[in-house]
This record gives sequence, structure tokens and C-alpha cells, in this order.
Amino acid sequence: MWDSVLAQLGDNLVLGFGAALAPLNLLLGLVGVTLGTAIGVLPGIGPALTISLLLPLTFGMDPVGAFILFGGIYYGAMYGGSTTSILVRMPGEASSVMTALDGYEMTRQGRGGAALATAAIGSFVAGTFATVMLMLTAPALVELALGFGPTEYFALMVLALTALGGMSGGAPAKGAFATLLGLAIGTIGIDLQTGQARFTFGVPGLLGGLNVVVVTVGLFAVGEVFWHAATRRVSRETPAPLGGPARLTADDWRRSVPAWCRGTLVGFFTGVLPGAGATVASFLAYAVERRVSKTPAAFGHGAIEGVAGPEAANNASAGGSLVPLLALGIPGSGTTAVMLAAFQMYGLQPGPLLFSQESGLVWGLIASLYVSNVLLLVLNLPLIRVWVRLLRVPRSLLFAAVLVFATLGVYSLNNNLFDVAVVYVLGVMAFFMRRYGVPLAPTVLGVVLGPLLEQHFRRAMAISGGDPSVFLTRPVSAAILALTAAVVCVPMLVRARAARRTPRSSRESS
Amino acid sequence: MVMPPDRRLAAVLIAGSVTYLLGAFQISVPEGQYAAVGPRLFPLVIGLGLLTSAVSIGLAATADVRLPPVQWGVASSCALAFLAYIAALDVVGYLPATTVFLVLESRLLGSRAWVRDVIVSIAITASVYGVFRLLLGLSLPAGLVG
Repeated sequence: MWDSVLAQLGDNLVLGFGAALAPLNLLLGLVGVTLGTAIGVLPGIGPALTISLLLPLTFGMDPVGAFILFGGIYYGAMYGGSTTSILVRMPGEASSVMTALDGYEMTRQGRGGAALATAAIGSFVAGTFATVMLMLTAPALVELALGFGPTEYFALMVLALTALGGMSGGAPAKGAFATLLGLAIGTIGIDLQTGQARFTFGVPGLLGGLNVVVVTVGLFAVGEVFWHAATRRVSRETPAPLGGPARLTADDWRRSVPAWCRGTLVGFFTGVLPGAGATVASFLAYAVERRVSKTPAAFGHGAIEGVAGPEAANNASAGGSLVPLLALGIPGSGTTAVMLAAFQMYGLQPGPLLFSQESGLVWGLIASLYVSNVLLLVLNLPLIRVWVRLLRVPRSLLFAAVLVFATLGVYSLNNNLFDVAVVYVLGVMAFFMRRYGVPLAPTVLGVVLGPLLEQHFRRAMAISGGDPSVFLTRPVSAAILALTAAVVCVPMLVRARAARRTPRSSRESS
Repeated sequence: MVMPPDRRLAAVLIAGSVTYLLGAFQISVPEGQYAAVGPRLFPLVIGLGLLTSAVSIGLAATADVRLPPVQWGVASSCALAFLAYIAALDVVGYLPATTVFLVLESRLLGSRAWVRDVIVSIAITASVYGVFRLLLGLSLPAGLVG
């Protein structure tokens, strides 16, 4: 049996690398990793924002090429985030916050080169192994998911929405509101099953519903610029000198390799879970490194494991998060939600059928992730000084350009300014959501998954003849819903216990 | 006494939730068509959920939470300039509107280098035009001079 599985995998890889190494796709991969690293370096601009800005532009492109571009951006952003964490203690992405603790300390001790090297090589190791695990687990999950009906998909989507809403940091009620807000936005437009208009208020532009691209651009891109305008930090930090070449000593290697391995495992499995993205993965990996270390007191004072573990973890989580996206069509984070929107834009529905009907696309994307990792290693270490110089790009012009890009991209979708006006309204809304600590990613996930959630719910109910107990009598759906209940209850219990122990509650931002 | 920030938030969210619920009640359910679940159930459940979480945000609000400071002047002038840009696009067209907007908006966002901003704005406008129009064949608002 194993022979046939391996032969199948071999065929798929040949197919995938054939697509990934085609000159145009290779070029798109290179553009993706370069852009990804750049946005990773730049604070305030992340992969979700970038991919949503690029969605309108890739509309006319071959989907394989577009996803190779997006995959490169996703992986590249995880690489680039570490650079500014280490050199200026200014994380480019939330997932690199932990890296700043020991990474910047290493820089101050003149070991910045070693910190950058362990981050880059660790990202390469983790990215590659995560892609191997993606390649092995996604088809297995597909086998499992072939037996899933609307009942199971409904339960899975409830789990994904609940988990992301509950883990986005801040108050659970705000996460819940953010998720429901997304679902509410998703109900705008004509109901496909009955043809009834819902929440259109007589506005013809709303009949077709709000385009997911419009929503992501409004919430992530325009909202981010407004937020930056309002909370601009004027000081510009100058990068510290590297202090020696970006190279690891024998001792660094001895300490880094186990940390990379642990970080990869932690990151991959955290990534597969819904709700817990790269940020949670890096926090967990840091905690693990500290726990297993013989000298936990050294953490925060330039321990190389504190850079190696979290940086491996955030890259591995990117690979892990693609497993449920590709195999089930269920994203668990902001970035993968935008990628699902991209699939929908092409009329593709990720899930078991995608692997059989669009195997060229799936395996092309997986193969391109290997290629991207190699490109990233080659681009990152030698060019580190070039990337750091990106910090000199005036933030004001950059954000003004983001607004122009957002406007034109959205305009080009339907050649009308109505969508642009919607983007504007959503941008203002996102600004106030951020001000009051309401997370944005659950809203985007709600918009993307909402219509599917309702569709599966109604289908399941139609099959069961209107009997809602079907969600609890089918074992897989019951198990997933039980897990969802645990996702809601366990943190509440933990919080209640923690509140009893310490009167002051600390808050993590993600 | 000042209202706790989260209570202000909750007031707005409750108003929004109620509006949504009212909208949900207005969805007409077609008669004679058999469906286990009509077009109204889902919005109703969402609306009730919105209202519940909005109320619990309000109940959990405490007065000791400080919101991050916001430069209202900068934020609102940036937002107004962006609105003006969107409105101007259809009137004067992409090329002039974008160039002027980039210079103005980066100034509002804190840039103080006029010459550089003008040069970079023209470069961005031209290269976006190149990518959208010439490379991808997408249309841009033409206006009068576009």
C-alpha cells in the first residue's frame, strides 16, 4: 500500500514542480517572496493587507500563478518580520514580537549577525519541514473529509469562527461581536436560495452582496492607514550595527538546531488549529524554549534559543495553516481567510474536490512553497543590509500609496465608485474597532465563511427534514461542536482561576 | 463622571444590533416554497448574538480603561482628503487626482519634504498607471483629463 501512496506522491510532486518551475511562475514566486519580505520588514503592512490589495490585480491571471505569488508573500512576510525585531526592536509583524526580546538583546551585545542567521536558517528549516508535513497531512485530511457532508462542514466552520473570535486577544465579548459582525455583513444581498433581498435598504449596489475583496481592503488596508494617521509614532529608529557577519558559531548551531525542531513542531500544529495563528505559535514556542532550557534566566538577555524557536514556529505555522485551508476550505486566520476569498474569486472551492479537480493548482502551490523557501534563504542572509534600508522609506508616502492602490484595485473590480465608497465606510469602521479593541480578523473570517456557513446549515436542515438534532447525532459533527464548546469554556475557566489568583489581569495583544 | 469607553462602544453597538435585527424582521419569507430554514432565521440568530455580545461588552465595561491617545486632527484631515480624492476621481480623472492626493496625503501624514514628495508622487502615479492600464489592461477613472 505504501508503494502506491509514494508513487502517487511522486506523480503529484512532478506535476507540482513542473508548474512551480515554469518560468513565469518562478518569476511570480520571486516577486512574491521579495514583496513578502519587504512587507514583513515594514511595520503596519502585513500579508493579509498585501494579498487583499493584490486580489483585484490578479483577477485576470492564471490561478496557479496567483497562488504561487500569494504563497511567496505569506512565507516571505514570516521571514521579513524578524529582521526589524532583531535590529531595531520594532517587530515588522505581530508574529515576531517574541523575537524582539532576545534578538534585540543579541544585537546590543554585538551578536546581531548570529541572531539574523539563526532566524533565517531556522525559518528555512521550519518552512521546508512544514511544507513536507503539509504535503503529507493534507491528502490524509482530504481522505477523511470525503465523507463530510453539510452537517460536518457547518460544525467545522462554527469551530473556526469561534476559535478565531475567542483567541484574537482582548475581551471575549468583543471577539464574539467581531465574528458576528462579519457574519452580518455576509448576509447582505440577495438570498441565493429564495431570491429574497436582505439588508439592501433599496440600494441596488448591495443586491449582489459585499464583495469579499472590498471588505478585506476596507478593513485591513484603509483601516490600517487611518489608524496609522491617528497614532503616528514620529520617532524613527535607526538600525543598530550588525556586529559581525551573519554567521553561526559551532555553539550557536548546537543550541539552535533543537530549538528549530521544537519550534517547527509547535508552529505547525498551532497553525493547523483554527484560531491560533503565527502570533500564538511564536508565543508558545518561546514558552517551550524557556521551559526546556537549563538556564531560563538567560532568556530576555540574548538567548539564541529565544530567537531560533519563535522564528521557526511562525514560519511553520504558515505551512500548518494551509492544511485546513486546502484540505477543508476552512481558514483559521486573517491571512488564510483572504486566501480563501482569492479561491472564491476564481470560482474555486478549496476542499477535497480541489485536490482531485485542480491537482495542478494544489501541487503547484505546494511545490512553489519549497522553491520560495530556497529563494528566501538566498535573498535574505546576503541582502540583509538592503532589507534594513527599507525602514528609511517614508511611512507617509507609503501609506498614501496604499490608499491609492486600495481605491484603484477596488474600482477596477466593477468599474464603479460605489465599491470604493463601501471601502471608505469599512475603513472608518475598522479605525473605531481598533480604537476600542475589537479585533478585525474575526470579522473578515466571518464575511468569508458566513455565506458558506448558512448554506451548509440550510442544506443540512433540508436533508434532515428540519430536525436540528442532526448536528449532535452525527458523530463527527458532534465531536467538532463539543470541541467548540471546549474552546469557549476552557479559557473562561482559566480566566476565572487567574482572576482569583491575581486581581490584575494582563492583556496580550495579537 | 465620564462614561467608560467600553460603555460608549456598547451603546453604538447596541444601536447597530437593533438596526440589524429590525432589518432581519423585514426580510419576507416566501410562502408556498418548502424549506426547512428560510432566509430569515440566520439573520435573526446573528442579530440576537450581536445584541447579546454588545450588551455584555457594556456590562463588563470598567472606568479604569484608557484608550490610546489619538490625533483627531490628523486622522480626520487624512480621512477627508481621501474622501475628496474618491469624489475627484470621476470628475478630474485618475492622473491629476492621484498626483495631487499623494502629495497632500503624505503631507498630512507628516511628511515635510515637498520636493521629494512631488517627485515620488508623480513616479507612483505613473507606475500604477503603467501596471493597471498597460500591463493588466484594467480601466481607471478617466474624468475630464484622464
